[in-house]
Amino acid sequence: MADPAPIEYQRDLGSMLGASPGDLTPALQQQIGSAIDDLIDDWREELIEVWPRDTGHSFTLWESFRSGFVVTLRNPVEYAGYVHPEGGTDGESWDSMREFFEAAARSLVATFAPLVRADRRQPTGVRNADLASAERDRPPAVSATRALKVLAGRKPARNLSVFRGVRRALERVSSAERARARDRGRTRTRVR
Amino acid sequence: MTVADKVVVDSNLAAVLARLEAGAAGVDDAIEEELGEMAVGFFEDLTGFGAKREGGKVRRQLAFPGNGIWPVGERFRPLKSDYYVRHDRAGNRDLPAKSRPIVESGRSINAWRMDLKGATLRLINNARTNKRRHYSRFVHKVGDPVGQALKDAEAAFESRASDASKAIGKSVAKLIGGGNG
Repeated sequence: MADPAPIEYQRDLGSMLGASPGDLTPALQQQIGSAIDDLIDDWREELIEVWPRDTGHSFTLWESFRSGFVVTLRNPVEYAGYVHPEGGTDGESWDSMREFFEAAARSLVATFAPLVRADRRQPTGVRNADLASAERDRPPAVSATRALKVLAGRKPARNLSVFRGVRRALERVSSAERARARDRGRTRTRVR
Repeated sequence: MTVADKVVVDSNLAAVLARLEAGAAGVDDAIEEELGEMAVGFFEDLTGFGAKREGGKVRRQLAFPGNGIWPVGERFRPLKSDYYVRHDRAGNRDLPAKSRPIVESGRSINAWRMDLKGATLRLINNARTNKRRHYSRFVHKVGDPVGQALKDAEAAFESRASDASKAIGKSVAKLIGGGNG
């Protein structure tokens, strides 16, 4: 295998629409946010159809979510970028998933562009809603949290990413090696 | 301790503290590495990913359906279906009248993610049904009470996060210790 190929893809639908959430009325922000959530659901459904599963490892480590109007699709598995259906070429599966997303995003933008233009003509008094805070208030479907005592009592860590950590961990000790280590009957799955 | 020693120690400490304050690559990398190992371990718990031996031959173990905590063998009618195939606790399935094929899903296991905000690690699953309703909190294996899978996942998360917290403390202490010579 050549270089590791985790996938990290971000698309700002706000910039495609020419508007950030704060520029729009709360109702339209909500509408677009909800449409993006639907798009992500459709993308996941497509993933279930398209992504080849041998062990299911790379399939289960996909992350797909939005923050404002920015959609993130990413997979930390070191071979995710090479996944392809039987007889296909390297990376075909991700190419197909990316095309699906981009087509759906273009369609969403085409639907909302006239609404965004109309919304911008509204008086500023009805804008400036803080949908972001409404989004923050809305709890995720399932959420467990735990405070980590990082940095030995000093300030909490900054700009740390679990995804980056997983990507690095899988680059250091491959998924296959982890599976083999587990098979050897280790009680700890941690491989050093 | 000589003056020279003191100076060396002080400067090292200052350097370490400066690195901590500035989020130096070495410290952040160590923390991320521990978090990464923790998350990999947690997803292994969840999916049961690994390998198994059958008749002397090593076979990779399919993560489907649900060898781990999370039952990924749920089934649904694909592509915009508005009808989920639900099963009762005895495992009897309430099959849809329509004739669309039923395929193995992975919808709810595919909706997990973990993120870190400040010092809080969050575990999130936002899987939704075709009717756009969140349902992860109800997931369970056949024979288990409703929501049992989430309880088990949270327990695994707690345990992994607790280990990671200790490991992070050790890694950071090691870095500081190293700085002190």
